[in-house]
Amino acid sequence: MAEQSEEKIKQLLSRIVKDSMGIINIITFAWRDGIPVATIAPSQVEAEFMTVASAAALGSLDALGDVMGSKLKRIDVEFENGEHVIISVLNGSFIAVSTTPNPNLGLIHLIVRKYEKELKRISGIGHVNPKEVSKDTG
Amino acid sequence: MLNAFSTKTLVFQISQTELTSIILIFSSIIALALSVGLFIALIYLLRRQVFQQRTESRSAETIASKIVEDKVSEISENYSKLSQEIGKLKEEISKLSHEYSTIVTRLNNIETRVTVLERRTKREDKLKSLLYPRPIEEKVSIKDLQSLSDLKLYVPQIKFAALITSQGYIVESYGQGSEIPSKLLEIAKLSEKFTNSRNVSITRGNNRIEVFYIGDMEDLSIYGIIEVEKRVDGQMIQSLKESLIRYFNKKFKEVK
Repeated sequence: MAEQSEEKIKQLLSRIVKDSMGIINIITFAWRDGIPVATIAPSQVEAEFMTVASAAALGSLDALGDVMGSKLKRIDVEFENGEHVIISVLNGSFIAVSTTPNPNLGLIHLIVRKYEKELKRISGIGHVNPKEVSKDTG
Repeated sequence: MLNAFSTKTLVFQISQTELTSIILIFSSIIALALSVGLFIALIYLLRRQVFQQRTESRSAETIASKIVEDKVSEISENYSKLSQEIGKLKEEISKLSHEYSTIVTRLNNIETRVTVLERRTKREDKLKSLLYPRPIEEKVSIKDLQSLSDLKLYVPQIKFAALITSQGYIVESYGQGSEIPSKLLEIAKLSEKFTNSRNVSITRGNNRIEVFYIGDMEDLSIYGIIEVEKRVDGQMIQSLKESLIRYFNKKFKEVK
């Protein structure tokens, strides 16, 4: 992926963090195999760990999708300290979000959905309308 | 001797023809007597019959007269009763007329008071119009909101406003609602099943709750909830809804 696209994705992620009004701690956009495309986190290690763990979680939960007879779309994990990790699958990639304790889940779900389409458009993944695909192919 | 002789001669003299005539006369006398007797008996019978008829007619007359007397007495009784009732009615009518006259006087009093008040209000209005400029009634149009709390500036009677996702998560809220938002959302979803409308209006106590569909964000539906006092008119509620929809579209839907 071109650096410009990565930069755009990072800008989009920062907009998600901004719109969430400080609820989101870590946000990462990565491929399903765990390779990060863009991340925003207090530290690089945390971001990478989050990306890999999320990819692993998606891989293990795919089996559940097989049982349910449907593809995995979104995961919302709640921890004992009230923090949440929300992972949204986007055609071969995913966006993972780590929140503060007891977050406004409505707002997070709304914001994540709000930027999903834009992320798809910028990264050029999935069945996006050709008109919407970025002309910058790197 | 002579007499005896004479009698013998007489008897002798009475010849057979005379005897027959005597017998005839005698029999005629008997017949006459019989006919007279029969005639008398006939007359007696006739008289008796006439007398009987007379007595019968007299008894019938007496019965009829009794009946007539009874009826007359009944009629007289009824008449006396009627006259009594008429007397009562007259009394009541006099009372009613008295009451009517009092009502009429009261109405007149009220009319005079009303006219006095009308004059006074007109005079006061004139004075007011002279003292203060008349306020112009304007429709309250809600401008673009910066946050949901801005709604209070336009509609002070607002109790609660919220944006809620179809999952039941509140995106943003203002105030304190009388009902749990997710419960209201469930009511809206239920009503959608039955009425095919995503909008629900609920009156609870002195408040009116409106749950309405705002729009979709990918696979997520967004609903708005407004709770206001019952006295807020429908037009204002409609403008509140529209402002909330505009707010959502501007803040959450538009990708800057």
